Amino acid sequence: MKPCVSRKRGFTLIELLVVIAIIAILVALLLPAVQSAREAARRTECKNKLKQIGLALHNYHDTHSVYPPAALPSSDGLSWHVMILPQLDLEGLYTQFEFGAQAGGRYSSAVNLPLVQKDPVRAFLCPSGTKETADDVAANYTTHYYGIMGPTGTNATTGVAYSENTAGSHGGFSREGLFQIYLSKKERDILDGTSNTLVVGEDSWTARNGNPTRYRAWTRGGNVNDFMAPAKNLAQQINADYTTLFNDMSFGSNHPGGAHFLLGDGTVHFISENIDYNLYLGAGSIAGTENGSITSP
Amino acid sequence: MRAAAYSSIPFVLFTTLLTVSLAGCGGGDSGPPRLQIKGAITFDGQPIPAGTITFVPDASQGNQGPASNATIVNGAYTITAGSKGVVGGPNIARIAAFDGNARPEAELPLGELLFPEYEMEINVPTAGSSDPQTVDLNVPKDAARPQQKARRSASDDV
Repeated sequence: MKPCVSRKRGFTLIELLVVIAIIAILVALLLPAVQSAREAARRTECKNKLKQIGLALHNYHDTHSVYPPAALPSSDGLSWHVMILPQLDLEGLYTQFEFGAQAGGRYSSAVNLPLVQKDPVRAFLCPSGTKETADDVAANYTTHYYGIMGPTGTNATTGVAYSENTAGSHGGFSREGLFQIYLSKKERDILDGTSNTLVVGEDSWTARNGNPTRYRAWTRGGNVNDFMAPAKNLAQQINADYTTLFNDMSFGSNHPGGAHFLLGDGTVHFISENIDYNLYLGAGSIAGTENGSITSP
Repeated sequence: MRAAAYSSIPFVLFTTLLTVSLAGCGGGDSGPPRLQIKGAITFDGQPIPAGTITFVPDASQGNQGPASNATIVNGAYTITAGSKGVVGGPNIARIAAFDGNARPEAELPLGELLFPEYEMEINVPTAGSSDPQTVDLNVPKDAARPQQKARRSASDDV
């Protein structure tokens, strides 16, 4: 009895190994959780950025009684992003831009081009999107938030084709959305209801499935009957990784499973990549009288 | 007593592993099955060198679901199954065909459009969904005419 009591009891090798194995399993469990927590934080930040863009658009509408046009009327003019800078507390940057219908109003003019190359404008960049520069000129910073020109294809409720200017070889221009080239829309034009209409979407994915990104400078506008940089048609599924036709570039993100969209009422929703395509198209038009709601499909 | 403690360690370990492995289950996507389809695609009998094809569920015939797209390379296309596959049933295939001579300076990575984007109705069979379905398509010559988005039934052309 006595020697047994006095003997100091240690741990056997097996016990130690088992403890180490358990700790290893717990750490292995924890690491992905930490990573997904980081992604969740980035996702929330992205959502907030779109929310701020929504507030800026509403403040712009309060001031000017219209929403900004997708692009100013000049070949390669300035984008709607530039026009809402004062509403995003970036008045200082806004006043440095040169506007006008002539060559001076181009995004690539001697005054305007350096402004897109100096610093990225974080208000227009999703933290999960790792590519922050344009694909044509690497010195230019880009944006991850694009206006919605409207759907292309057929209205599922009425059976009528969506109105579209099919001129040019970059996918055409839908006439059904809030952001139109050289043309401002008002809130009263959103007859489908602001809480049913997609206004701005996220396009922050990086090259995947063999499809490169085609980002352009965030200040770049469009050219009538040709191309449109700061706004896109709804012509592909979310996360379709599609960039062949420039104006039909698919919305999508590096957040798992979908992308953020700003609605006309200022709310931001995460829309699944598996959403019914015709419901998605219907939400992109401002006055298509489609059935169904994008927020409660 | 001590023997019982030893045997409980593997038991605890086993229970932990079981809990962990079960925690990953559940969830999963609901929705229509997504099929893998492939096929040849021609324009007036000639293979389309480059382009894209998009399958959109035809709402006018009651079909619902996500759209999916594929790249056309040398007259053939493949849509893989899984999360990006095609929803079976009536679909509208939208085809953008290019000549394949890339012109980056004009922002045309696949070259000039051979004809305006063309839409045709396709019925994707849902039977045997595990196998890749073969759906061959031919875009008729009159697609090059300026009338936009003319819709045709596949049976008229193939």
